Amino acid sequence: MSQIILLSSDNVEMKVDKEVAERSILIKNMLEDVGETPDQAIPIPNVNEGVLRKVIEWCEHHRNDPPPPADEDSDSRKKSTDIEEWDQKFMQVDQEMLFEIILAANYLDIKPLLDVGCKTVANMIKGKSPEEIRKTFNIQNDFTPEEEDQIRRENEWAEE
Amino acid sequence: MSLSIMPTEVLLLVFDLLDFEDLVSLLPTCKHIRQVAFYSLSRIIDEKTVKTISEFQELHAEGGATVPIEDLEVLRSSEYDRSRGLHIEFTVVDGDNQKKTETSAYDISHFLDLINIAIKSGKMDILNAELYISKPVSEDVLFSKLFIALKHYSLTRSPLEFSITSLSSRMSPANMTRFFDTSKLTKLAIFFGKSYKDWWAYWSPGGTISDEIKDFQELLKRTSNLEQLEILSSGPIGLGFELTPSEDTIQHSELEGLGEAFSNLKKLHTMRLDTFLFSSSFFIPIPENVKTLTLAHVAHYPRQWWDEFAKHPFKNLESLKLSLCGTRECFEQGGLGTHLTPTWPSEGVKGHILGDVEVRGLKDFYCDEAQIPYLPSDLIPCLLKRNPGLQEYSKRHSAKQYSAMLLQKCKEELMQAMACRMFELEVQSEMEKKFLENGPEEDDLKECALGYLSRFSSFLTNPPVVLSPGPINSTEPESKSVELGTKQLEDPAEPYSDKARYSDKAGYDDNDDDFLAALSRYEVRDVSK
Repeated sequence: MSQIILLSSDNVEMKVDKEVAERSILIKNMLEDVGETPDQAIPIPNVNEGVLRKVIEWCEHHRNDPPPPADEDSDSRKKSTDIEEWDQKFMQVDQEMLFEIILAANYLDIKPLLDVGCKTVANMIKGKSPEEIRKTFNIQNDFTPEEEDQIRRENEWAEE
Repeated sequence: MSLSIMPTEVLLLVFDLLDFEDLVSLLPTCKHIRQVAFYSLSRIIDEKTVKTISEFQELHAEGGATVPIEDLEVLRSSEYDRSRGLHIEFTVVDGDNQKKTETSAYDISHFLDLINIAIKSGKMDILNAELYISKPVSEDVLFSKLFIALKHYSLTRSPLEFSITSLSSRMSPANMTRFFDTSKLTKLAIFFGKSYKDWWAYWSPGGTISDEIKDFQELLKRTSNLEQLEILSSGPIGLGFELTPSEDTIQHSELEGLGEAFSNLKKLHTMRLDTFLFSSSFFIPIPENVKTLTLAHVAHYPRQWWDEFAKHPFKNLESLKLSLCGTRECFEQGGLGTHLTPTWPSEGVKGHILGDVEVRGLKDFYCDEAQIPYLPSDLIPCLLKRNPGLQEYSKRHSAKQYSAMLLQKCKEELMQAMACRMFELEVQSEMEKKFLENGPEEDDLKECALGYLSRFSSFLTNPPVVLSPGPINSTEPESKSVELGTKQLEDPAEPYSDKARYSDKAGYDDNDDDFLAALSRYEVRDVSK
């Protein structure tokens, strides 16, 4: 089994099976462009060691999954926010890490991982009031009191 | 790292997994999230709309549901204060079954309150929402909010219970599709043209004319309950479209698709075209149930447009009006768009013969006097022949207009006959003179006779037009009334100036004077000879 080396943004090298790394479409395309397994480490400038390890862990676990359909119907994705048990446990991390994984999955083009991340965040929003959402995600309210008053008034029509 | 600083593309992926209520909860959290949540809301509502329309169509497939609506009234710009950007009128019915109209000066909150009451309390119903939008609304989050609220309400009602009237001057078809529950649109006045593209471009910069055609087609496909439609032009009438080079880039198949969308407006009964749409030769297939059709500025329609008109099977048309401008004021008169060079079809339709028309069952026909010169010559007789049920006043009006045209033709023939006789006398007199002077020299006399032929053929080539328009079946370009003078006759090759050719200022009275003056000059000259 051929292996490649990935270099995190904080300059930590990680050896990983080529098959596992190729869960990332970005890396897969890069390797295809190069034509042969490179001896040198492939830099992943946007992802630090901790996050890269988590991403590799996910890719290891899902290494034998069938590839997602090329043009996945967005509706089928939309219907459910159900997440597999293993993925649920995998995503039980602090919010900082959760968002880092999502951003890394987006950057590395790992759609199934991005989906799991988005579903996790969506589940955290569901059923919450605006104030609860702010609290959960530590969102800074950047509206002026006047804007806030206006928004509240406008929103009455849709509130229960 | 917080949700609020996540990139928009990721937030959209997350928000697309949420329901309407969750998205509404996100709106007041922070500015960035609010912006993205609005976008997701509009998408979710669009999906609901499609579902509602298909459900409704299944339910009412055989019901033939129609929304009662008053006759189309032409909107005057003065009734609306453009500076406010949005004028709204709600027709509501309260718990005591009292019908009233609610208007408010740019107070969107008032209308949000009304929608809120209508949704929650059940003590009030909104029967119709009339929106006049004269500002690029998409940039205003308040407007977006109102549209989303209105769409939300709209989705809870059937087209029998609620209708939307849109008299928008600055909302693109794409945004109408996006913001409105289009199955409720019953009355639509929509502006097209170059200057509006500038506002529409706010959302879709760089949109091509193909995009516009597709967007309008998409809107029409979704407005299955549309009953009244006005298509208006921005800028000085008819100048909205920049025909060159855009017209060259229009694909015939695109316009065919648009035409099909028009044909499918089964409930449309009233239609007004103030301008051609996209291309001057594009004949919009008038939907079969249209009873009242008004065409303005037909001067700009070319021959092939009229040929399509003649062939079109108007099944239910009862009233046809060919007006000059109508009572509508042009919003942008003298404003944007005036820099465009008009590139009208130069061919014109003068002398064009239709042969017959497929319009049957007309009860009313009106044609503005000023439009007659620009119509195919036999349009009026064809309409009269094929529509015996025309009301008396329509017949009288048409007869008057057509008689004026025939009289014009007679006058011209009379002029020809008189000129012929006059040349005859002139030449005969010259021949007599030569005979007396030089004796019976055959060459001299032949020369005189040939002069007669040459003068008369010059007269036919450049006839003195005494009325504008010219002869009914003439294929010559229009000419200004000119005096029948000696110079004209002696120098027939001198072309008329463009100014004279395209001047149409002369009225009938003036021309009658010209005619008489021309005759008297001939008489005077004849006598003098």
